[in-house]
Amino acid sequence: MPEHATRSVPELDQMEQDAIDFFLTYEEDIQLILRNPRLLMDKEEWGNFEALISHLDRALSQSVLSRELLLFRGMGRDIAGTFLFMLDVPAGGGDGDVVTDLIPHLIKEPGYTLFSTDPGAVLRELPRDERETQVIFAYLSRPGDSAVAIDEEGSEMLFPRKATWVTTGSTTALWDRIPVIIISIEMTGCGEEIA
Amino acid sequence: MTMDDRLSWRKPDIALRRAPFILSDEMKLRAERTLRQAADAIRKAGEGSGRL
Repeated sequence: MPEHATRSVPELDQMEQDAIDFFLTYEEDIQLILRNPRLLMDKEEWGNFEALISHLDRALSQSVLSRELLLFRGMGRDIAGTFLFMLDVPAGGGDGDVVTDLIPHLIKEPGYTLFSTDPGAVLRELPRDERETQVIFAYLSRPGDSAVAIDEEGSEMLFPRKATWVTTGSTTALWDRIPVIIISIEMTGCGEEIA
Repeated sequence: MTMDDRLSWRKPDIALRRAPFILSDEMKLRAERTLRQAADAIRKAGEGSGRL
């Protein structure tokens, strides 16, 4: 278990451990329902889903980071252009300066937020077009943040659901000759009723 | 689910709106630190990617 989590997954109770294992298997479905609860709300499985989310939330609340971690998450091509326009960040990237006077924007994620400690893992999986600038978010976690490592290496960290993130600045860097716009974010709140 | 779906936000996943506040000086300082570290990490990741 990674050393940055003060409480390791094996210390979780069986229900919480099972919930994390279930999340690893059915991540796509769980995230889809959290983002679109009406898909399941009127069905008899809703009670079981709420119980699962309760165990996942409890696992997250019991696992806190002991130190800062630099974490990354990507942004798909279907929204990156609009997003950069909203933030007034040049889509072609800048000159590498650090900018913190952007108008802050909120990103509301109804599901859990998954980050990677490896920016290459995020960038490698984004559709690659060398004419297009890639957009990646960077979050420097705080000691005491609730987060669970969902792989043995601790390279993928799951953060609480229904989080609101705020953009705090931008810069650019070259990754393997491809320009990357980096947007820094902070969490401003999380965790409410599912729907 | 592909890796890029898991580690990236898509349009249907999130809601975006302008924040009803300005950033504190502390948040700006943290942003500067985050961005400098992130830029270094991305450059280093690119050096090691070994792409042809």
